[in-house]
Amino acid sequence: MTESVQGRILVVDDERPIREMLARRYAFRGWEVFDAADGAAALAILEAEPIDVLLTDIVMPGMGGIELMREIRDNHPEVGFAAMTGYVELAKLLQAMRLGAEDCFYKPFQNLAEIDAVVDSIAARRRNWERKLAQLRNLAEES
Amino acid sequence: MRRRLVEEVAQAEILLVDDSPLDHALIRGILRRNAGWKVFYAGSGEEGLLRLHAEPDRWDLLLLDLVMPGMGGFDLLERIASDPRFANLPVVIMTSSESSADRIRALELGADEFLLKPIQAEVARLRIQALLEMRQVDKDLQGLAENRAAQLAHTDRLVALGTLAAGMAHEINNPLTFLSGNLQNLEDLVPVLSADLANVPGWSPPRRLQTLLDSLPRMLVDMRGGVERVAAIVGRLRTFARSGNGRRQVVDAAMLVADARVICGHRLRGIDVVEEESGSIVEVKVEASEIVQVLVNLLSNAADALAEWRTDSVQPCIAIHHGSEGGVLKISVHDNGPGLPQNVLDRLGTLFFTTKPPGKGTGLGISISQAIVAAHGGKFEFSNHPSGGAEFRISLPIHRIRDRSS
Repeated sequence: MTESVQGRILVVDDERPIREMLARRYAFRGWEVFDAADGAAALAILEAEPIDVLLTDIVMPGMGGIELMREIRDNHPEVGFAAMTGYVELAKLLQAMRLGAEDCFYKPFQNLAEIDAVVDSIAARRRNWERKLAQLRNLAEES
Repeated sequence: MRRRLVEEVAQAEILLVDDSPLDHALIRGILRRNAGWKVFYAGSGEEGLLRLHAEPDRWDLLLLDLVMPGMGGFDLLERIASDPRFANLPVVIMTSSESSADRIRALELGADEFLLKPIQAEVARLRIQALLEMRQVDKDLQGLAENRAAQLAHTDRLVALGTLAAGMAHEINNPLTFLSGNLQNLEDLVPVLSADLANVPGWSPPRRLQTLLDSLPRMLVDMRGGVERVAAIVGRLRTFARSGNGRRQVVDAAMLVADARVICGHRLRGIDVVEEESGSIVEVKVEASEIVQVLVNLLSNAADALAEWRTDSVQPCIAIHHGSEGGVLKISVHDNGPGLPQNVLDRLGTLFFTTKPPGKGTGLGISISQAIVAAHGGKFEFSNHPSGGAEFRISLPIHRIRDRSS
């Protein structure tokens, strides 16, 4: 557990105890955590806060995960995301992966460390990308 | 069949309704002597009706006199004609009249045969024998129909049970998710908390608190173990109650492989995936999601094997080959990992056999894959490749082959 902030993660699930279980986990692991119960609430947070990683359920009442991921792909391409689902439904899974989900996790999660690894790698890629962007900006300013 | 029929008919019990004791004695004598049937006597229409109602299932045949004081034969027939319990009861009318109007009326009321008085023994015996046999065949057919209906109802119940199981499994899944997740959170945190407390200067907890802190890890491991067992049962329920819609569609084999690669996503990152396909488009008629599931299983097994074995000297690689070969579609997945040890080769495909550590694999992947491929009329094979690494091969019947150019 490091004291410095790992990044900002948004957890989206309509089942409160699941949402809070994940929120708690990433808070303990040093993340700044946001949570939402459906796609619309998640989008509102994305508009207001710079989020690094989003973890979303697929099947939710109201705006579901597929629609949310499509919105992110179109309007917040800087946000990396992974999906989770209790349904084993190939079509939705394919949709999620094609929209750019890093991975899709089946509930119940046998090993949360697998989700940690994916979340961490999304954040690392984001940091890497930001570092490169900063370098480019410096280069541009110097020239 | 014929012998059994004769034997069963020989046990027949016949109700004779006739007001003349003389006729009764005569008929009883004829039938007993000639066929061994048991004949019971009712001396009036009223008594006959009473005996019919008292034991509606008992009688195999009704012998009915038409002309009786009080309730006559027609009256009695009218009373039982609309009663479903007597719908299959053969009725033989005894009459001294040859009036065709009487006959028609009796037929309309459900009579089956007529015997002209005075009764001729051999004629009576043969006609009654024929009716009893027909009734027996009727009964047997009805028994068969009832059996079949029961079987169908059983199948329906199984299907309903499967749907119910799948629904229940999903309902149980959500609570399992946060039970298991929170337990994993605690498992990660309790050691950190204990260490933090131990580092507090002058920390000396009351004995009971210390006992609790010491017991927590063990309690958590046991609870987690219980949750995992429930999750495994639910997983199996879900797998076997899989509501595959059973719709087979014609798809390009290359699409199936492409979908499987998309689903495997980052699990294949860092691995060279080489895909070779034959020149033409091979189409198969399959339940696409099932075959994709098989391919995902094979690809992620290969990726797991490579991840465990990763060495600096060898670049991990998975070769996927698909194309028509010997009249069938063959898809093979070959990794350059360590290959399968003999004991694994022997047991792979056994239900719940897994080489993965607890919490990683269900041991269902290969056995389900085999079942899916078999259900599609295909073959599932695996072996170590001569050049090293494991190779899994599935073959499926081809629907059609098309040229890429067309």
